[in-house]
Amino acid sequence: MSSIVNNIKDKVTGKDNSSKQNQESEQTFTIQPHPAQKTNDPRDLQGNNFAADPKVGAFHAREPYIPPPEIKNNLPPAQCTRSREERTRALVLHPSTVLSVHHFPPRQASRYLPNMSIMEYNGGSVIAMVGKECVAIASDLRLGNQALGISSNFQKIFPMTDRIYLGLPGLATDVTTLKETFRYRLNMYKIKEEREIEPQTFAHLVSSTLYERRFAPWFIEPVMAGIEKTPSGAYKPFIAATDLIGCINFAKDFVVAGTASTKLFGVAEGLWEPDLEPEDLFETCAQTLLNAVDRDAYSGWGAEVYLITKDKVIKRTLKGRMD
Amino acid sequence: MFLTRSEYDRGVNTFSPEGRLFQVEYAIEAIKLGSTTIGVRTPEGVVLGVEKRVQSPLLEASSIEKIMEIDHHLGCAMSGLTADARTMIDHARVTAQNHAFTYDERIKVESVTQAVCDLALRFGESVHDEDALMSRPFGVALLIAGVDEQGPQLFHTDPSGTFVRYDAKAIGSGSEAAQSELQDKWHKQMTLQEAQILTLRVLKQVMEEKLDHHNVQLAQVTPDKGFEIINEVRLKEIIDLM
Amino acid sequence: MPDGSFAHPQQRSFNPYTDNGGTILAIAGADFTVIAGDTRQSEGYSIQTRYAPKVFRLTDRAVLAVNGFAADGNMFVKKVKQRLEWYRHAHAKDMPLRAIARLIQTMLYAQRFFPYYVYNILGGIEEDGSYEREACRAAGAAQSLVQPFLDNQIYFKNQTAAPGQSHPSHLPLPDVLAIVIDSFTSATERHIEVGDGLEIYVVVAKGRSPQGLDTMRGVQEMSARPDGDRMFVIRRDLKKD
Repeated sequence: MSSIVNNIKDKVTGKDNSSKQNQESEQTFTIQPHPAQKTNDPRDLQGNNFAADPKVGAFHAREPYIPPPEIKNNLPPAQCTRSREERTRALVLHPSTVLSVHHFPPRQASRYLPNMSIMEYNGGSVIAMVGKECVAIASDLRLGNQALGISSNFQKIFPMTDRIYLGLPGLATDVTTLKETFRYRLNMYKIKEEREIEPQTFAHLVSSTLYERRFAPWFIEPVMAGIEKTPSGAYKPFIAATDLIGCINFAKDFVVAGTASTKLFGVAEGLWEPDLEPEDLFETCAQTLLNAVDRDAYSGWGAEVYLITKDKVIKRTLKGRMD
Repeated sequence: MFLTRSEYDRGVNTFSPEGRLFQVEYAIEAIKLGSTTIGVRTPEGVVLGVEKRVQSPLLEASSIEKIMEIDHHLGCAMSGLTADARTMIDHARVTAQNHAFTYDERIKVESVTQAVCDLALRFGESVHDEDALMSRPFGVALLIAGVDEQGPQLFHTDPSGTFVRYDAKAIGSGSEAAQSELQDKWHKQMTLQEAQILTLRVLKQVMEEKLDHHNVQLAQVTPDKGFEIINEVRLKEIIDLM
Repeated sequence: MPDGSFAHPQQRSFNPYTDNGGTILAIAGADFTVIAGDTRQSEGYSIQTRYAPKVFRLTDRAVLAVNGFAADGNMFVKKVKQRLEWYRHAHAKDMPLRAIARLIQTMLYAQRFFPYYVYNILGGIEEDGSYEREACRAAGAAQSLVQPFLDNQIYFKNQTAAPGQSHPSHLPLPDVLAIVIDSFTSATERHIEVGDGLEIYVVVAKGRSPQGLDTMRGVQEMSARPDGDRMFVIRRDLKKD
């Protein structure tokens, strides 16, 4: 087992010729005895011995419950919508058996669920833009409960590494959870790989983390911005966004997400241009965000911009409309 | 002549062989029995004046109403069967308000006059399920005064539904004498006060009683203040100026 | 369950409306008004035609843009034009811009319980020389894309003027045209229902300079009289994808 791992490692690190030597000098481990002084042999765990052991009896393992026939055969049939309708029809055909039939209105989702979208429950928007050897990522600071404003200091952008920032617009509870999830996964990555993650890789980490919950998704549409180091040593701006199940969009100009996304698209499409210098990029990004969130009831209440260049990150909190 | 009349003056919608509608002509005659009413247009506004015949000392002169407001910028004086004027003025008021409601602007003087005249010939037998019409022509003539984007204007309407614009017009019993006097005295650059005085002077000439602030009424329509009936105090002052 | 029997209550529904996409936009300058609309007409993901005008000349000085359900829009413009003609006959003048605005309001409200599914923007020059109730307005499919851009570029929202200076209250015509064209190319880029063609109507107040419009390429003059308010139409291509 360990030899396979070593082989792969050797290939990656290019230490082909020295592999044998390493293998011989490598430490080896044996399987330690079970602390309960029980054997790990599966054969010993089978049969009556295991269940009969009074220590194991603590687990109270039981056989499945099989009801006696008098109960089993007299159970009422399960009542689904269809059978209820059939019963109703049968009753109508024999009016003597029933005094009145209540007709339920057709089932409408809106009768049972409050009319709301989870993606718009707390509000908030994020935008990221590419400039010349720089990127900017900006968000509003509102946390709401539908139309009610709760906080004007709710951060949605978090540093992932020194050079990667992640914006998490969407359901606020998932913002907090996902932030912690990514902190955990990046720490694990760092420990295992002994290096910082690259933006491109991080985007795929975000994608697979979200896709894990394909059928019960996190209600977040992440936006990320960072600077990658090319093999030649140059710095290249990087932005990406995904939908709530992790489909990545590697855009070359700008990415947007959140309740003001249509507005952000409109303004960004009008203001953005290629190869903006850092300060111009900051202005473009800030103007885009402010003007878009001013037309969105669910976003606003302050804003912040992170301007990431190859040697520094500048965070600016913006003064905007607070209504 | 008299014979033909008696045959053709019964049906209100029947022309005589000479091409006349006698009922309409009689209606125009009826106006000549009414009290004298005068309208004078100047560049500053339009003045309306009426004689109020106070037949009895017990009659409350202020209850005789012969000048009425149609809209802020429109006024109207009448002569003849004044009761008929109510229908017309009601129609004029509704038309003016509808116009303001639909178009957010003041109706033109000519338009409101046209609307009133559209009513004038809606008499006679009604056809199938049309709204019931009036049984006879109106017995009243109106002087419609107003100010619009074309400046101060004065219109005269008669029971035939004809309307004509005038600089100065007199209707009613003393109209012939009054009209020739107006023709003599009216000039283009009249001030509003000159028009007020001219109106009173002409009325005075054709009135049997001695003119005072009880038996005449003056009103004016100006670009600034719109329609206003001149109160008795002011009227007295103008009478003193005569 | 729809078994053809009448044992259960049944419901049928007919939806008389559809959304035909597109976007319209109007901006007022100091002595001119620009009213524009794209020319794509779509239903769902299908393009019905690449040239269906949404902007219409009403009088010498009034232009109406309609957006929403095209059938209602076309019928509405037809009815407004009919009322304009009747007004001309009754009052011997063209209906003033303000009166048209009120007429449109009353006509729409008359259909309060079976509305015209139409958003209208009326633009033009008012008779007394004043010209605006609003300096800019977008409507239609890409309204949410265009309006915040206009807030920023026309009203200078979120922009602070340099010390001792102030933002212009009105932009010159070339700037306004550039913003209109940018707005539509942006909307075309990001909205599937916007594209194909762009029609920009410009009404220039009587006696005012058309600021180079008369010599611009691809401009058609539609003025009734050269000495009155002048009207121009500019046609441009938009992306067709």
